[in-house]
Amino acid sequence: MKMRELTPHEKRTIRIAAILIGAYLVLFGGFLLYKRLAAFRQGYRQVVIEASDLRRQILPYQDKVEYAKTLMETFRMDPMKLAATSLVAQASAAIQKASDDAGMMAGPIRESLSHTGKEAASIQFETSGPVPAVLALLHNLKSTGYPLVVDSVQMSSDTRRPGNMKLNLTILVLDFDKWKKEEQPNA
Amino acid sequence: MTGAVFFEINASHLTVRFDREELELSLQRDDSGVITLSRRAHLVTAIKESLIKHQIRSGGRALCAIDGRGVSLRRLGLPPAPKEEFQRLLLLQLEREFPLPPEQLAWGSRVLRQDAAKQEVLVAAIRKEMLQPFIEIFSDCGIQPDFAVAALWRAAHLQTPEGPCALLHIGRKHSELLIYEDGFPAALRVLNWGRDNLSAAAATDIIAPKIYLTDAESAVLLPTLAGIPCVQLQPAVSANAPPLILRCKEAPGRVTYSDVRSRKPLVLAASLLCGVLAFPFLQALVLKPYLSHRISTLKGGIDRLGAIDREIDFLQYLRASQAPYMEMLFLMAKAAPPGTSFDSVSIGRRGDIAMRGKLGNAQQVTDFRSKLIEAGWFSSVVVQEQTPTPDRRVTVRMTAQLKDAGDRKPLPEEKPHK
Repeated sequence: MKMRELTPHEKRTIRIAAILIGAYLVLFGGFLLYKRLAAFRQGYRQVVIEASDLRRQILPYQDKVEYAKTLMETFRMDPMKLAATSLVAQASAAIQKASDDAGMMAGPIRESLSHTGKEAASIQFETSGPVPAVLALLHNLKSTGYPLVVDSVQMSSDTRRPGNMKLNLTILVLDFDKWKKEEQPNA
Repeated sequence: MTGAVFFEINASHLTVRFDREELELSLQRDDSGVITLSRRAHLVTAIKESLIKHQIRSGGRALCAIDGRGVSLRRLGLPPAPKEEFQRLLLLQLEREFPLPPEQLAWGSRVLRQDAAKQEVLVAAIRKEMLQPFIEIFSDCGIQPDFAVAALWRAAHLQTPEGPCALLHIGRKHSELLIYEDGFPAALRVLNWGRDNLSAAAATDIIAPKIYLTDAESAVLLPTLAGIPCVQLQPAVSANAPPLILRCKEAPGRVTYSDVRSRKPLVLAASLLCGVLAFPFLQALVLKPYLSHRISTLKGGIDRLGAIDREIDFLQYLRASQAPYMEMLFLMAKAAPPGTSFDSVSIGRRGDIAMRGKLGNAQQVTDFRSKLIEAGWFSSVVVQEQTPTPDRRVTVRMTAQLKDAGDRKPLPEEKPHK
């Protein structure tokens, strides 16, 4: 059955109705879509703010890392890689090696463990040798690869070997694990 | 348009002509002569498909030749005038000559001849509503049509006839007679017979001394008409006049030719606006997952920052705890006069120095102490004991205290040995 042809007036009415319904649907759908998108955008803004805060927090560490690298190269040491259990033994061996490398004759060595403060142990080390070797040893102790602080130096003439000096060193071995951030250097 | 396409419209058909091919589409009008909606849709689809087939990009212009039905030709005499004035005068003449106002007409004009006193203008006009369906069809196909009168277009490609005559084009069902006066078209008649019903031609009354035919085939079919011999008019080497384009303006409420032409920038502007409005949301949509992932990765490594701080503090403490033993020994050696011997030197990490030794005499002790003070590294230098010995030398016991790092003078540079 063929459908009746619509009159122009009916066509116009249908067209207007379709436009109105379409406009309503577009506006309603658009509003819902906008609400969802706006919420999503708000979430994105928060993420951006978070990222910006994080960036501000991280940015100074670019310089800090460079500075830490320089210090590590100076002391030839990475504190994170120090073995806590064998630290004193390895440091003691390194001191004796530095003494030998400088041309000193190593004497008695006494270790005493420290249970307080920042030190892992205190090492008393006696050695003797000519003046240039003494100076070389003092210089080498800074770069043994272990956190050593020379607490005191006592030099006296070696009566048994003319021209030689006796050197008595008190060396502290610092312990990175015991390190507390609030403590400040007092030297 | 990249390729060549040409449209020809008559009462019953719309023909799409390409370089070597043509597509004839039936118009199928209803009882009132209007092209049905379904037929319009079919025409749009067929035209689009043929354009795609011939690789013709939409959005360009195309010439559409319309038959003479409803077309009125007038020759108007106007005084010479500048361009703007000419248009105004022409509009006034149109209002006078045609029963409809110019706004309801699609019309075009061409100056035929002019002298100092007058110019003669050929005007072709048709009711705009007759073209409107085709404007809409072409608009849906993405084509901007330039409507031209087919009879004038054909005549422009034939040699110009001399004197009063008529140019006859025989179609399938209808024919068109273009009447010439003074060598220029003056009127256009549509005859209700064609090749399919040539017998009806006998009843045609024509007052013209000569009849020319547009093609050789017609000359064979119709050697005489109303007792007047018909001869073929030879094709011209090149078109003797530009196409007379019928301008369509101001058809309120409907898509018009001018609307079609101006749609492109509108679409561009709308796209741009949509892009601008959608950009923040698209940005959020694209960047949020990436940013969230990056933040979670960074947060995973944020604990490392504390470790870096600890490392730096530790290394700084280690550096600050290194007492300058070498520098102190250097300064003492530099300050000591020749012949001085130290029995013992004791230096603590906090800069407390104690030394015992022998110097040449009391003056040398004073000088040694002065030089140590002048070096700028020691805050107090004390001679705790000074004892003369039988060998006329002096045994001394001294102490000194190292200044803070910020208060010390720079070390003197040692001069190179010559």
